[in-house]
Amino acid sequence: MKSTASQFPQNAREALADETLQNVLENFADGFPRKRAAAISRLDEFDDLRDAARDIKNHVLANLDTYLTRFEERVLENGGQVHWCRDAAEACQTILEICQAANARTVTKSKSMIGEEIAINDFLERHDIEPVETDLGEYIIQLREEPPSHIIAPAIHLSKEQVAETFVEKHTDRDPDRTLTEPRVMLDEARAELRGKFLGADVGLTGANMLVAETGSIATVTNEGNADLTMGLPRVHVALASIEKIVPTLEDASTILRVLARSATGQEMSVYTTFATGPKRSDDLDGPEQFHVVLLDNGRSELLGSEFQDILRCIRCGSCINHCPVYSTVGGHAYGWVYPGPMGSVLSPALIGLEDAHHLPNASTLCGKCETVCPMHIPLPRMLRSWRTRQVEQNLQAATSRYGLELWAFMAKRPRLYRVFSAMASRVLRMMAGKNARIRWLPLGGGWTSKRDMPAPQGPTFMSQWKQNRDRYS
Amino acid sequence: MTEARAHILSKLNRAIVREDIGAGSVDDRIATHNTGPLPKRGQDPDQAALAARFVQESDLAGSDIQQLASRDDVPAVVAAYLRSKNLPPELRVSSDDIFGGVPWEGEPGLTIRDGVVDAADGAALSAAFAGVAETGTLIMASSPDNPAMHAFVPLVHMVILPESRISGNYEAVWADLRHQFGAQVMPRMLNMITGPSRTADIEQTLLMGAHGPQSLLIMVIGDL
Amino acid sequence: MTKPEQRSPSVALFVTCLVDVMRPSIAFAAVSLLERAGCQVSVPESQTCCGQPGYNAGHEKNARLIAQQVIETFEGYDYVVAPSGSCAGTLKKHYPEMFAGNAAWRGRAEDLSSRTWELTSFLTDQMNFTPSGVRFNHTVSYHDSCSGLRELGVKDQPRKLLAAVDGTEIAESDLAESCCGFGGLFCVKYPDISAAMVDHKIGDVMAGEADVVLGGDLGCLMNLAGRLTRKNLPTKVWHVAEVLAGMTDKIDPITGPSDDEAAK
Ligand code: SF4
Repeated sequence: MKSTASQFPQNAREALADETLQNVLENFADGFPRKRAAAISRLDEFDDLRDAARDIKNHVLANLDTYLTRFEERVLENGGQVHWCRDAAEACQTILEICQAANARTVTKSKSMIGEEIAINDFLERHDIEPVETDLGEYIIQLREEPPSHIIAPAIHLSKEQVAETFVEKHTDRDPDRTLTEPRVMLDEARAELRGKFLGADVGLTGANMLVAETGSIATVTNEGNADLTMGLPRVHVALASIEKIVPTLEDASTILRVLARSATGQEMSVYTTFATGPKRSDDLDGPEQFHVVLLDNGRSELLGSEFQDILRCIRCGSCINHCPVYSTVGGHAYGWVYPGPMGSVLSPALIGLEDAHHLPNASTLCGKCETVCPMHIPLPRMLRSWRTRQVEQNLQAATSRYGLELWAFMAKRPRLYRVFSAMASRVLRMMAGKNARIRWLPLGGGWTSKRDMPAPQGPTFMSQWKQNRDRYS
Repeated sequence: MTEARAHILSKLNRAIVREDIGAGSVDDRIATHNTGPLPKRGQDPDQAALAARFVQESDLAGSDIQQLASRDDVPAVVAAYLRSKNLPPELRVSSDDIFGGVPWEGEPGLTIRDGVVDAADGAALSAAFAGVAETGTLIMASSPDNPAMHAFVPLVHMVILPESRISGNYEAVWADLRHQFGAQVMPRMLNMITGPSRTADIEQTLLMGAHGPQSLLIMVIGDL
Repeated sequence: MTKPEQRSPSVALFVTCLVDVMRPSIAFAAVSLLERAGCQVSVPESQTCCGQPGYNAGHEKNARLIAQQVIETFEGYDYVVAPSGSCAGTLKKHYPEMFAGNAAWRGRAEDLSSRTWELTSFLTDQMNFTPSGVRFNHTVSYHDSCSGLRELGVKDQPRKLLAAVDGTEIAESDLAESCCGFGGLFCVKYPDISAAMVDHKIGDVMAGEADVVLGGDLGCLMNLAGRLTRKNLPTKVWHVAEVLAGMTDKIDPITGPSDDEAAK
């Protein structure tokens, strides 16, 4: 997917002007947080589980090489294959070769953020293989040729009217005058359309929420059951996973599952959690003949040992996104690439480069809500700040803010000079205010006064008044 | 590919700040499989309490649930459930031993088929490996006698779960699994199922039956 | 050394750069409250700013230099109190982080951190203070500023203090804990998003009973006030310290004088 992250402000302005989107977002901001809070209130141990989940991933990251090789051994023992890929190009090529060896025409897919990251759909299409998204939200946006706007609710930006229009336009075998007003009817139509695809696909491509080192299993978590049909019906199952998805054991997987759904959708558990281990066995009546795991690095190994290592604990629950006041104001597409919201603003600069993604770490008030709702205790605000520090180090900051901040620091380090300067600033600002003590326009402060008045300083600075009269106002 | 493997592993090796650990502790950790904090919910005193909790949690998750005294009651319940869903009296049944003693002849109108499900099947019946009270979750272990796709292809999925197979938490099931299958061995597909298939992808409207079953009936059998 | 509890504790007021220039009454209110609570208050002269604007903008080196100056300036007082959750949070939470890898300064940063408080939580949790004889006849919506709330756990303290003010009712907003969109440089860099965020909050306040918004951080309050007046909305904004100190009949709210008064 081509990034438009560098146009974040413009994307955001468009999002703010999009009435349909704003209506949808209003709904969004309320739903997930309320459900999460309700689920957590039912589980006293939630905070202990968060700590434990964090510790599991920290342990894994501290031994990632060993765990990956243990996982690989198990997959091979179970008759599966493991493909190590350094980057998107290698992963796409690997998947293509598996498909070509199976003479595949159609590939069903269950939602995979890494699939988006490596843009596998475009790649397969270019090689005459039809990828079919099966998660309902992904299916809808695939028909609309749009990227997802949320990591667990990819079509959250759309109204049901927009979905209906899309179905009428794309499901051309159906009566164009049919009534499509109820979500139920739309779902039934999508279910019917996808039935044939599930049964006819040659290869099923899934993501993986976890890789279990103990058993060589890949774990998927869905509510629709589409991952299971995707991996269970075709002849070949390919699971695409990034290297940090390892957990040591089924017990560790359980701890993480206990925080995952509750944080994501506010469910106690997602409906389907599936551990798939190797291909069809000798007497099995169903299951794929081949089982492939594509292990993708794509920049993760660079984060290990850096100030951004903690983001590798992320389990893609979406909680930080669901609670982000910026996301719920502009939606997911404004961020311009695969991963939106706080986790995206930490991850994207690592994956597409800080230059391209330079807005993202700045497009946050550092309000800290995300960290408080992250089940993995990922210090997202701290890492957003670390990216800003890197921007300063690499001279990627806009000149005005750089010089402004340098000047400010110069003053702040010199209290006497600072006193003179602040007294002057106070005087100038007071002069600019109207009778009602408001400033409606400020040179260099246009970012503020374009949208708000600036209350004028009340009087001379506190420090100067304090010296003259300690008892003012009393 | 071997080049990529070596490259990735050596990068990881260089980047990792090692503290305690190393290969030995990884293998220890895998072998000992310690549990994390176990929720109190699910640590009920006896099997009847666990079953009651399982029923309650399954219901919250949207499953239909019936507690039956014995296998003898299964045919009538199945027939009635199909009728309530406006489905023809036809059923794909897995060949699990548990179905050996079910007196299907009691519902002569019901057509029972074995083998693997296909797109024409409206309903399937399979046997659960276990149930987890904590969240009302079924654990299905695939095998030739219990094909995984029974749980996903039809519009209605029905499951038999002996009450004695209800555990408090997932961890108890993993212990049981290792006991039955051996350490580090998994059934090819292990499905944790908590309610019927659903989606909220259209304007956050919750709808059942997205790709998997629209209805899930769990029959908890008391006496087996 | 005598324990702080046995004599009146020495408190250094961290004025904050914004209060110093924009709204001195907040600092006067803080001094008055601290004195009424039995503290001996000083205002160290060489204070400027806590360094947060630079720190949050990635200018870590500068922020560290400023932090060192703050640490030195505020050494020797029993407590350091700021009428701002955000600046107090910087001293308390971020200074120790900044010097995590610096043996010489880490201890001093942690020492300052252990003595630093946000004003309302200091008054309640440390000094057991309750205001008396103060009247403010308004229904208020309290805005929980992000840093105070999430870094320092400031939530009940201001409400507890306001409960002792005669005539004040609190009408809780569902969005009390939502960010107002200020975010330091954020509001200048992304004014459209920031305005939409503050509009969410304002909309929620207007939908309720409150005719006044209170809070403990001037940055957020200026954002709310500036947007309210720009939209010609009648809701008034004050800093909680001004209300608690009984100062509100002597000064205009942050939203400025009403248009009638301004015309006079
Ligand atoms: S950063 Fe935390 S909250 Fe956000 S998606 Fe990842 S795990 Fe979930």
